[in-house]
Amino acid sequence: MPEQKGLHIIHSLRQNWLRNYLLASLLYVLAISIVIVTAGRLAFHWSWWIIAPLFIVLAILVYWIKPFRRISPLDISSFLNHTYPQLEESSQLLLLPADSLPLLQQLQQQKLERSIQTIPVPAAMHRPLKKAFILLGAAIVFCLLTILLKPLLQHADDTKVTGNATEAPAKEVILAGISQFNVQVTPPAYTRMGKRQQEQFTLKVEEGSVVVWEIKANRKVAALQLIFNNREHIPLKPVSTDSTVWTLQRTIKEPGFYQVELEGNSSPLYTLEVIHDQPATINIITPQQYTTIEPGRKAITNLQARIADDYGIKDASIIATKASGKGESVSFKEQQLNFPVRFNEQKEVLLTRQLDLASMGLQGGDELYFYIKAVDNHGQESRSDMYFISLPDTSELLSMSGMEAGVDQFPEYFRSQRQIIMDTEKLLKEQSGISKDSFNSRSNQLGIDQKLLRLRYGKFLGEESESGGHSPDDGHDHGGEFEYGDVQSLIDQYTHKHDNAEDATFFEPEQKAQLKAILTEMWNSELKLRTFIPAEALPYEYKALRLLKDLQQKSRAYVGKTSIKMPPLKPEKRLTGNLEKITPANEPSKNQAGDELQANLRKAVAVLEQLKQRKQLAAEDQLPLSVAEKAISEKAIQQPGEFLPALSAVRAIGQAPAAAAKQDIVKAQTALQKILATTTILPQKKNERAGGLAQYYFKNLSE
Amino acid sequence: MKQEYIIIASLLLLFFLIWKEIKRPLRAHLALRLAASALAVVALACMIIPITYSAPAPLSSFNEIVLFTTGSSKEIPVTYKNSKKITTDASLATVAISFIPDLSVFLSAHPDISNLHILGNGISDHEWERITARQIRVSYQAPSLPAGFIKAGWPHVIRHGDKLDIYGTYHNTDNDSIKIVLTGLGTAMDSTTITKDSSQHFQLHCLPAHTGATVYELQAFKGNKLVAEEKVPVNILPGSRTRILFLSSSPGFENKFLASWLYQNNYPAAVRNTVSQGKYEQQFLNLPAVGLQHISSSLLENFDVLIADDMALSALGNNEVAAVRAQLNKGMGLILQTDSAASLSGFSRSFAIKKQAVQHASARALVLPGQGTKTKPLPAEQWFSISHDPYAQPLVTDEQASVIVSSRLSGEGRIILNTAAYTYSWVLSGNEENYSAFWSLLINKASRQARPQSKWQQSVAFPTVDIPTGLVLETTSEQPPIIKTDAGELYTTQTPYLPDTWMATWWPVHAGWQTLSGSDTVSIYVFEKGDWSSAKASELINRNTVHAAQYKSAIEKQNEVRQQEKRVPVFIFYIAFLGACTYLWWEGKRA
Repeated sequence: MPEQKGLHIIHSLRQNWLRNYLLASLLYVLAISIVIVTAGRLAFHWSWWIIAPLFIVLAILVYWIKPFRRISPLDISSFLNHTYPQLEESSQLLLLPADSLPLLQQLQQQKLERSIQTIPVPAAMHRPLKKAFILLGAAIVFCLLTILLKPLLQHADDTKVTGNATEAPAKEVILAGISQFNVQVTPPAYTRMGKRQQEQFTLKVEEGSVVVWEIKANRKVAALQLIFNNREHIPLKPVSTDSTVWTLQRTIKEPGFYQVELEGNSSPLYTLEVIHDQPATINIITPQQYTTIEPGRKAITNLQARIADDYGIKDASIIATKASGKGESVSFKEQQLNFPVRFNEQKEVLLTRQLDLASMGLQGGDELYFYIKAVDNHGQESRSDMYFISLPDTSELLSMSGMEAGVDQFPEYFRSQRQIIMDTEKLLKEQSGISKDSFNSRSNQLGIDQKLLRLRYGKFLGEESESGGHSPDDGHDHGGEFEYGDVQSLIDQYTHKHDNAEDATFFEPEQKAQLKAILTEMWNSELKLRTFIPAEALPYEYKALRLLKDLQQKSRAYVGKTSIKMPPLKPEKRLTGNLEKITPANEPSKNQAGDELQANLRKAVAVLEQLKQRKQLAAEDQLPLSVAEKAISEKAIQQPGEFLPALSAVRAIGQAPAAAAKQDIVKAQTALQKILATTTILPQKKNERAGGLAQYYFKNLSE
Repeated sequence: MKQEYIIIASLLLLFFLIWKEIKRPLRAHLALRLAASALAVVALACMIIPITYSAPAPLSSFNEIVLFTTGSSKEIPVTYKNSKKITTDASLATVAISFIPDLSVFLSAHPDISNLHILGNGISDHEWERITARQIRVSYQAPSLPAGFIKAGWPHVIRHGDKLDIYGTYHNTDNDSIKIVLTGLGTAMDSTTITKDSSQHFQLHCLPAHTGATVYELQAFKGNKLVAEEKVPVNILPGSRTRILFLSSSPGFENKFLASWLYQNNYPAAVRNTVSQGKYEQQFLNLPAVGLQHISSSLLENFDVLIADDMALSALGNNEVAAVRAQLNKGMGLILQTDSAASLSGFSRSFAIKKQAVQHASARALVLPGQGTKTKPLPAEQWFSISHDPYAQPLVTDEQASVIVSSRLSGEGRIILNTAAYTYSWVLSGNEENYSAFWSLLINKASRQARPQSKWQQSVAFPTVDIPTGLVLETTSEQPPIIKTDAGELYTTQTPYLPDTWMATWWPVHAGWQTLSGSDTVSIYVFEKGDWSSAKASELINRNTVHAAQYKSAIEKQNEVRQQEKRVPVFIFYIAFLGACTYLWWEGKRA
């Protein structure tokens, strides 16, 4: 029916439009996903299959977001009105059923029915499709370009790496009879590393890991074995009944090299390297190795340490030893202190603990030695250095023992420092009983005493006095009376005598440095005293006293008294000077054994050098070469990565010296050079002119 | 025909023709007719008499040739465009440059050659002799220096325990710096860098740990690319062992450490320590026991160096002192250790020792000037210095340039005074290197010299296959020595003024290590033709420059032009004659 035709047309247009949009969106999504996957392949090595889920996800997203579903017939009709003037802006009439319309609209509807059939397909319908195709084409081109250029990009990256690539393994040479093989490595459980599998015979495994070889031969073989370090022959067990698949399991504990042997044919040597589990490393950050806590300070130290291990730390603790007493009555007490941290096999941990020495029972004169012990999860113990904290003994400091005898350089000054300390302690004891004003004034007075003491010391170092420089009254007195003509007394009044025996000091630089340190401590204590905090001045005073005592005792030499019993002296033999019975020791002559091994290795180097030119091996050269081969194989067992190529080279030379290649000879020589002990410069004899002419000339010259 | 007759005859003819023309009744065009006749006669005469003019001579005369030798480019300089060009190098032969197999043969085949220009590296010495003998004028134009190793030198024979020093010059024409590496036995031993666009000296060292004939390599790298590689063949002989006798007045650490160091390195040493009056403690290391109670000349004959301190020498009896002096005269060396400024024995009196004022023990670094090394600081309680002496050679100084060890000649041997008495502290601090360098220097200087059976020298720096090498052999033998090589025997000639020196010319046939044996055997390395090409080229350039300057053969300047007589072509006169005769005939016909 004609009315239906127009509606039908509009509906079909709508369908087409929707279909085009859907297709276009799908193509867009495809293009975008291709681009994303290509970029991902370049950067993150994705596989191509990621396109499928990505496509689905993006398609759903786009379908949901893009509003083309919501295109209604009304939109289509308004578009048609817009595009085709012959529809006279009234195509929406076609959507309504004919019966519901008044006459004018019906007439219009009929008119439209005729005209709508003449309209062409709107071009705009295909536009999104065209755009989508173009974009898809561009995406595909981009994808192809990256695929083609990828090897070039990678090649450029490789050439940036100069020198030999030490990590890239050289292509392995595999026996002809082996068609397929794989090696499974299971590291020990405590390392918490997973199983891994490789298609290479060269192994680098953790110590104690289990290695399983699975080798598939291309035909039935009778026997297959692995030869380790040229010594152990271990046969593999067949898995399948037709003896083509063989397997072997082994726990690897030491490094070396091995080869596969198949019915008499041996493969080249493959290295077997072992990664050892290192014990934990302990690094103590505070305190310093030797610390002294002055009396007057609180006896508390903050211990901070960092422990690191390659697989995990199981436990760490402090072992502390307290030493108290002096002389023969020293007593030691050891105790173990723990850290307030739970260890559950971390690889790195930072530990802190406060050591309260007073609670451990340390008093003045005692010392604390401690070290940290750590256990890693393989059971290996390691310990740090020993750290020392000492609390000096005040009673010894304050005592006068050893001071009475001998020359006292500064007796009164020394006593003054002791006096200041005792006064400060008395003041602190009475602090609660006296008023604040008197406390402050007494503290100030002590500060003045300390200052005077410091100035007296400072004189030796030439420091300024309070009035700045020499005061004009120093060193001489204005007697007032002088005589005419007595020039000396006139001069005496105005000169400072620098060569006066009492004032003259001749200090060595170290003594001067120590005096300076004493002065620094006195400054600090004076500061604290003058600012009315005598409690804090105490440590400085003690330190000053300690340094003073050190300085004084430095020049003394202590000789211990020995008590040995000598045989009784014979007076008739004494002091005669008879030396007949004395025969000095005569050692028999010693001969340093020449190092046979080194001599043979040196000779082997010379033999190899000769081989470069002469393609044959003399009979006497076989021995040094075999000694060299043995030495290199010993080294190859310990360090297979370095010495294994040289071992293969030496073997190849030994088997076919006439066909020895230059690189093999050079490899063998490089390895020998590493093994040979280095020499130092040794004295040599110079060669003079051969022939008797020089002698003849010299003789006649001296006549 | 004599030219005068022809001129007279033509003049007569001319007069006759003029008279005939004038006499002709028809007087039309008389002037023209006269001119034509005159022209005809003159042209006839000129045809018979040759007229010549002088013109610059072309330069392509056969008397001058240009020789292109190896090292020149194929471009022909403008000045030699017209000369004949020859070359003796097949690679330079082109269409313009012809190849000749041998210059001397060519010169003798062309005796009229008077001037020779040489371009490139130059010609060999014997060819220069031929050229100057024939009085040919030669000019030589040196090319630019070739890039690469242009000079290199090293000791051909060293002993195990000696340092190998390689020195030379590298000419770098690139715009990049070059790294030179000394490689031996597959390991890089030492390296240095040469700046861009410069010609720089280099010096590389290594201490070989092996013995035998080895070929080291000098490699030049630009970035990572190998630019040049040359071979350095060295023959490393086993070490020679000096025999040492220690006399000390009291046991001390210095002698103990020195004796144990020598013992560990397999040197024979004997130690005599004075324990008390007339009582000695004797120790024999790597030596069978001998009696050291009494020092005699025959005992000292077995030792190369005597290390003694001042007090021990002053305690020797008169005959013992005489024995030491006799051996010193014969070549033995004496190392005197002293620790005070006073000299007790007669041996040290020739040195003036001063005590340096130091307030406390200080550590000073010592400088070994001969080797250019400065050691790590040596702590000592007191320091001495030796005053300047024109007859003494300072061996070791300290950082303030005071002489610590100095050496004087005494007969054939030497007396070395050593005031550093605490060198064992280097061993205690693990500084084996400085200790061995110091004592090797002193013992090397003091040691008695070895008398080898024969000594070999080669006159060419790089003996090459098929190029003659002069060999010089010093030996004492009654008969003239015959040198046996793998290609035959060489007979030697004696030099007239040095009767123990014999010379021979050797043409090596094979490359590589060759063994020659006269009274003893020596290994000489023979290079291939392409080895050390830059060094050989630069040496050839130097030689040719010297030869050219010596014979002062500068050829005349090319700007000077030679004049030549050339004849005017006859054809012109013939045309003129024909033209004049034609006019006269036509004129006649017309009239």
